[in-house]
Amino acid sequence: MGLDLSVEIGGLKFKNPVILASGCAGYGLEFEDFFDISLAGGVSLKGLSVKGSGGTHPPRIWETPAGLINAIGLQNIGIDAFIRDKAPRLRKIDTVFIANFYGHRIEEYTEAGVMLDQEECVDALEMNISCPNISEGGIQFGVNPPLVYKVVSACRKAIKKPLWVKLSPSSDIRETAKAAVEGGADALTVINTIPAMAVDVEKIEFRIHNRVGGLSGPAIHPIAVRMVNDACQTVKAPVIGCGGVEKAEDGIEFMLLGATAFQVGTALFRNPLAPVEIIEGLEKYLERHGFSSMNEIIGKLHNGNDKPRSCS
Amino acid sequence: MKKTLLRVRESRQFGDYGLFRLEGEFEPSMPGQFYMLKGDWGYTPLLARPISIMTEDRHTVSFLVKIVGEGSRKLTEVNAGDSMTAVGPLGNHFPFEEVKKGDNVLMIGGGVGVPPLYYLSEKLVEREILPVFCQGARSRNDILLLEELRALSVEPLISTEDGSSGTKGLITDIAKERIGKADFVFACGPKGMLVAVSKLVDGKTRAYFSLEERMACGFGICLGCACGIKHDDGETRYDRVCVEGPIFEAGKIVWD
Ligand SMILES: Cc1cc2nc3c(=O)[nH]c(=O)nc-3n(C[C@H](O)[C@H](O)[C@H](O)COP(=O)(O)OP(=O)(O)OC[C@H]3O[C@@H](n4cnc5c(N)ncnc54)[C@H](O)[C@@H]3O)c2cc1C
Ligand SMILES: Cc1cc2nc3c(=O)[nH]c(=O)nc-3n(C[C@H](O)[C@H](O)[C@H](O)COP(=O)(O)O)c2cc1C
Ligand code: FES
Repeated sequence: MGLDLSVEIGGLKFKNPVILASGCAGYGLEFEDFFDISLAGGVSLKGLSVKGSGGTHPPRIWETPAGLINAIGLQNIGIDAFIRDKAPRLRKIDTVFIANFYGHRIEEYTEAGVMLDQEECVDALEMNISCPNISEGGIQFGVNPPLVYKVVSACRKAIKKPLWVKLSPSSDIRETAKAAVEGGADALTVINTIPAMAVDVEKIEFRIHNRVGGLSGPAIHPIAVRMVNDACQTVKAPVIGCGGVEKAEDGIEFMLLGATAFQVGTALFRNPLAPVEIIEGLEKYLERHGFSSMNEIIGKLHNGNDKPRSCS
Repeated sequence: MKKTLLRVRESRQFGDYGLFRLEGEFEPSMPGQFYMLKGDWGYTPLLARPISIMTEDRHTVSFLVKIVGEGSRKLTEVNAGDSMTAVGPLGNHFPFEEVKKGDNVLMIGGGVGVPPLYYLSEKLVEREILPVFCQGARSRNDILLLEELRALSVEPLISTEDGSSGTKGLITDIAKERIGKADFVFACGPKGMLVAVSKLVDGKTRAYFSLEERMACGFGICLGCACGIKHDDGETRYDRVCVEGPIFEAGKIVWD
């Protein structure tokens, strides 16, 4: 009785640590048929850019053992259309909305960030830095710590609301975590999808038109767990775990290692009610272990035992 | 649409196919709509599979599945009493309300494109509209729902690639001269078949095709099921086969 599921990330209060992951929850409204979205701790909206994107040529998805490869090409309606068509309904829903955004140049990031910063329904912003940087010959912003620092600090100066940075698993997470926090990130989301590929050996062609896609789902969970641990051990800023959460225990893993909250992505596809079931699972876990609040379990595994382990 | 847990009332396998009937609480559907179906099999496969509704009554909804991989195989292996998670009914439907008595209706179904057209035939026959039903298959073992169609007084015209039943050849061979006379063409089947049929349809006939694309969610959030569609403003955009489709006007589909 009296279980407190709430958590706080950089001054923002969440009813519970369950956040719907960007690109897996549309613009938040698509779940209305399944459950009351205000039950969720938060919703990270589909990645937005200033002008929007039509997305990549199909086929865009391929299922792998316990995973999904996708190359959607960050298809989105653009920020103006989002503010005009979606935001008015989101303003009435009582949960935390996080606007995920991206660009291909630093100026595109700051422009997108400023536009979203001014929208009332947006409570925090989440930068997706796993994008190719056009000005720097197409290398990803997210893999190069100096570039991470540059793009994050540019946005930090331009934006008033809490700024989260979503780290790329293709980077040395300790270095990029440090760079993002030095640049002014209020929180880190760890991790985005892992670059992957699959081939149809009968037709002798790529499974996905774009060839490379991002792997998500249970297959990446242990990798995400390790990276969340590394990030939590390196920086003091709150970390939001992401990758392969299907059930409450997967999110609890992140939290025991120091994450303040976690995101649920691919699980929503096969089970649109996953957030509700995970919230129930969290309550049961707290009861089972005699805890009274989610805050008690954050970093529990490291308390008094935070000697860094060397890698094998 | 909603997510429900349905129970397998009966299930039977024949050749590469399985037909099963689910019972429980579900919302009424329209022909052309589908469900995302998944049994209790953990992470293998991870995602649910899109399957068209073959028919439905107040208490049960039926599906016909061809085994092409792990997901479809597991769907066909369910037994009476097993439970299955169903999200649906999803997508738009064949615009059967627009068909008037006396209209000449042609159905063109290949493979597992036949079940949704069977459901559509049921709805039309209820309104005393008897469609012409062309069915193409690889061989006689792949001809589907023949008895069920006959029970509706719909006598399918059959083509098989190996000539083991009906006319030897492709479905377009038997559908060709009928397309010009039709007021409505409803087609569902492999992409190659749909492309071939689209070339035979002229502007006078109202033709609607049901498309298949790989789907992760089925209800519009992943954007994985994109298909290029020509819009009225003259632009081509990626629509979601699961929400704006699976049924599209033939002339608006961008094939590639
Ligand atoms: C709206 C819709 C309605 C459908 N209705 C039916 C139906 O009534 N009966 C039926 O048997 N099948 C139907 N399908 C196709 C069915 O969903 C696929 O055959 C199934 O998902 C394959 O899963 P699998 O795990 O067996 O095969 P996989 O191992 O995933 O794939 C085997 C092969 O099938 C192809 N494939 C996978 N998914 C699809 C897909 N969604 N569409 C086309 N090809 C695919 C793959 O590219 C691969 O070559 C429908 C598909 C859609 C989109
Ligand atoms: C179809 C799809 C689309 C995605 N789109 C975005 C996006 O627009 N922006 C973003 O930052 N992450 C995006 N992601 C990544 C997810 O938010 C999440 O980081 C990743 O999928 C790992 O979590 P999961 O295993 O729970 O899905 C997308 C993932 C998927 C599967
Ligand atoms: S299958 Fe996810 S949007 Fe269509």
